[in-house]
Amino acid sequence: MSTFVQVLLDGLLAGMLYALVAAGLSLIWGVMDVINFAHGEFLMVAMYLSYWLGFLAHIDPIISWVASGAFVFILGALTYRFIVSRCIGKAAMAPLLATFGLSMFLKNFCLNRFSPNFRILQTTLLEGRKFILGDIVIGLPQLVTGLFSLAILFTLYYLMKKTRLGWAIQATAMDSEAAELMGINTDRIYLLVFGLGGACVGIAGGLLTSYLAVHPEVGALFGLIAFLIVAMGGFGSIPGALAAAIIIGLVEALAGFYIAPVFKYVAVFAIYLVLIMARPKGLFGW
Amino acid sequence: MQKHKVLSVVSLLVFSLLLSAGCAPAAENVLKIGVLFPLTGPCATAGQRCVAAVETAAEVINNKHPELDVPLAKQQGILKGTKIQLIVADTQGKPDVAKSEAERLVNQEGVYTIIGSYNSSASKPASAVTERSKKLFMCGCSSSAALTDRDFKYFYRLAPTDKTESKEFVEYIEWLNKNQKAGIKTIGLIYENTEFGKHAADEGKAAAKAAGFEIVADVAFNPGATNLNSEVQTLKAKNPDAVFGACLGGDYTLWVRTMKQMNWLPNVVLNYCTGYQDPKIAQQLAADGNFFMGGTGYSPEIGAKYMKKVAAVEKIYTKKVGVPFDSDSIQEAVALFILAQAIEKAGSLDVEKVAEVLRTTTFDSPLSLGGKVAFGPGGQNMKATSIITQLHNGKYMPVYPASYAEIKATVPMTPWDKR
Amino acid sequence: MSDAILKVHDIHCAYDAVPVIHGISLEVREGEIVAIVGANGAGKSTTMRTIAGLMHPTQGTVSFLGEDVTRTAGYAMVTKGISFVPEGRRLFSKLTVRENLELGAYTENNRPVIEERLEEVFTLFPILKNRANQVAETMSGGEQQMCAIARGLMSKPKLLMLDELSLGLMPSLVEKVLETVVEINRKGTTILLVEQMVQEALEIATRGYVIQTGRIVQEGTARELLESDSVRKAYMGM
Repeated sequence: MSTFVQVLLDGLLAGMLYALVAAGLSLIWGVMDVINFAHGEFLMVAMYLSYWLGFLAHIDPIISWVASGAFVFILGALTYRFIVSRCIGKAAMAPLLATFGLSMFLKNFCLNRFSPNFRILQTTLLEGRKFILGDIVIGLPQLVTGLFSLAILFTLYYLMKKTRLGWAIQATAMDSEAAELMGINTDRIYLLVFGLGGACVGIAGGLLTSYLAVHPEVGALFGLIAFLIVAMGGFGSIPGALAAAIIIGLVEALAGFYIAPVFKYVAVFAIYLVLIMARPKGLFGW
Repeated sequence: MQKHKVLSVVSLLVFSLLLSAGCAPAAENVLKIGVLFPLTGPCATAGQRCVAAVETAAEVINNKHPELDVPLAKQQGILKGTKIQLIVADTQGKPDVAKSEAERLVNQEGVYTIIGSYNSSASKPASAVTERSKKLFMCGCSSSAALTDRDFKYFYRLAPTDKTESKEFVEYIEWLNKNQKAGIKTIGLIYENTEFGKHAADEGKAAAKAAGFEIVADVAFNPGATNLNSEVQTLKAKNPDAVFGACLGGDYTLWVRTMKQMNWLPNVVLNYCTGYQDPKIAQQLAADGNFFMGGTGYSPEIGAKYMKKVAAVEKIYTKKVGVPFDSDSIQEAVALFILAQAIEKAGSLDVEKVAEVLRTTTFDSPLSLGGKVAFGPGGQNMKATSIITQLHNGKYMPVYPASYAEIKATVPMTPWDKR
Repeated sequence: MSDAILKVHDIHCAYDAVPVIHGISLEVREGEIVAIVGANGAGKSTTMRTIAGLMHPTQGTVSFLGEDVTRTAGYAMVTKGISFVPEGRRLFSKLTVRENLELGAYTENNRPVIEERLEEVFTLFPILKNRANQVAETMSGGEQQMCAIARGLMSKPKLLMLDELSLGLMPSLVEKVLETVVEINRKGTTILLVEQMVQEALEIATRGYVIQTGRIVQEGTARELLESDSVRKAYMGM
């Protein structure tokens, strides 16, 4: 029984982390209809920043996530201004290919500058701390990341649903020309959305360094899982992303433990396929 | 418009910078050797070190190094002045890329030999290419036993195989049960779901079963995972006394960290040639890496004691990558040395003659543990040995065989909460 | 006779280098209702979109209140005092009526002013008050059209541009909507509208322009146009 609870908890916490990674992608995809192929690499860049801040300046990830979030916000905004905005209105594949190029550039840049070495922060405030309740162990870094994820997703949801800025973002997503007629500077909204999407994944990356090694390839699988989550949850839907992420986390953990670890991604992709066939617009899709 | 032009020129420049590795000026009388390793992808660190090791050997062979006491150091080049030119290529750790790059090296670059390719899964298709073209393939550290079970004529491998390592692991566990009352009865395996991992695990299971141990956990995982929770949870639930691990690079650190988070450890962990042997990873894991064990063909500690001639060569290597040789990379340097020695002895570049020399000669190899290299059937180095070490604060301390042992191994491993 | 607030001088427009408007000039004076009429595809909507800043002419100028706004971006036209209710209503379909209206006043940051304007449009369209928290796409066509006009009014424009209000509405509703337009005009908003229902439009208009294949073929007071033989023949089937 306690093993079951432990597996569930592990899945839940992994899912919450995935949700934070996916939220930014979902936002960008939902508002702009653009797939940011460099999303996983944004995560990697945030992790490197957090790592170097921890390693050189001894700033703990629990504080430096602010810097990671801000840095990737700017990275996202620049990506929009100099890459994506030039592709919009051209062929549908153009932004995809352009951000794919960006992802290769970022990966190879980090490979070149920082070498492919695996780097881990050795002593962080959270590292190795855990709650032990009987047989159940909850790692503090995972828990904190999970709670952060919930808090940020909630903030994002509130922003989108309850503020004029959020309505303006939604309006831009639904009909950018009509939004323009309301006096909404849609170009500015896109810039902001790309930045916000970056900030979410930046914060996730910043916190991840508490327990995960950084290397140039670290973003690849996270990026892929984020795509699944966004497609499963419904493009642009924050609650959808959270629900889909938790489903993926749980499926991964349960299949990994009760069937076979090597089966876990098989199960994840199978669930994805089934869900997408049953509901092509995703769980919370429009 | 002008801005666009500047931008595209700059990006082109950046790309050419990224792609410029491996372009060396051509000289007269050169022997082109393909050096095929994973330079990008999850095993890039290891691959780049392997390349640096081959470069180190080439430098020693090509230039006069009277201060070094290793074969071919005192002369310039081989066959009276032929210099070795390395053509570096990237497998990305992928079998298909390895195959196509091997074809390119053989057909377009016209290399004489390929040295590579770290991942067994990459060495396998790449060496099939050379075999068909009757070119030599010198394999340093790929450890899948299957590679030398193919009866290839032109394939030679230096490192011990998973099979020999597995036998040694089991032997050591029996020794521990006898001498340190370790009481190990059950064994678990965790390995990446690849050519290398699966073969290592198969050999491990076979060896353990033959000796009467019970296999209670058999955990394969996909490399490059975002977490290893289910994997460690499975191990924890089955609670084996000893675990054989085959986790490379980042997966190794994630595995160790996840065990720590889940507050579980077996009594003994023995690692195949993996993340354990990487000194950088040992350094990064710091105290968390302590008491893990694994097969080691080289470490500076072992070198200082049993392979005294390595240190001077190692200096050249360390200048390139910032760390000393490790069990894997040093084998790649040996691969080039042995090839050069064989060519020198054959007195010509005739592949058949050189292969004949490789098959029949016992070579002096100061960079190999034991000091000798001799190839048996299938091209396996019969003199390859490794010793089992335990990590103590970043140092690989030999614990087995008893003749090499420097400390008594900490068995069972100290639990996380008592560290 | 007051001065023109909107002056369009000889504009030429093209979609993907295919010219659709070949030199249109028109003007709107303060307090007027000006109707642009013509057949489908004559270039009416393109003219409106150009004035609203959603596209820019290849040649010619647009000026509003004496300022050249030919190249001004669409979103900036709102602050200058032009509000455009596009063809097909273009409500934000997943947002509520209230959120749609609030976005109409996006350029206004003063809360009390926004509330005041909301009250104003609710008086004009009482039905919208009851539907305030309903998602826009769940309303009937007529209600959506009212919501679109109300949203256009939320920025308190000097010039309200209405494109094909009658499209997809029952004839009885068309009349009602046009009555509202007259009421809005009476309260001081200048109106430029585009219509395919030529007679209905000209009946409420001060002046009118007839567009045919990207050119103005006739202009004059609404009465003159209503009585013109060519207009009656071409557009009213008489």
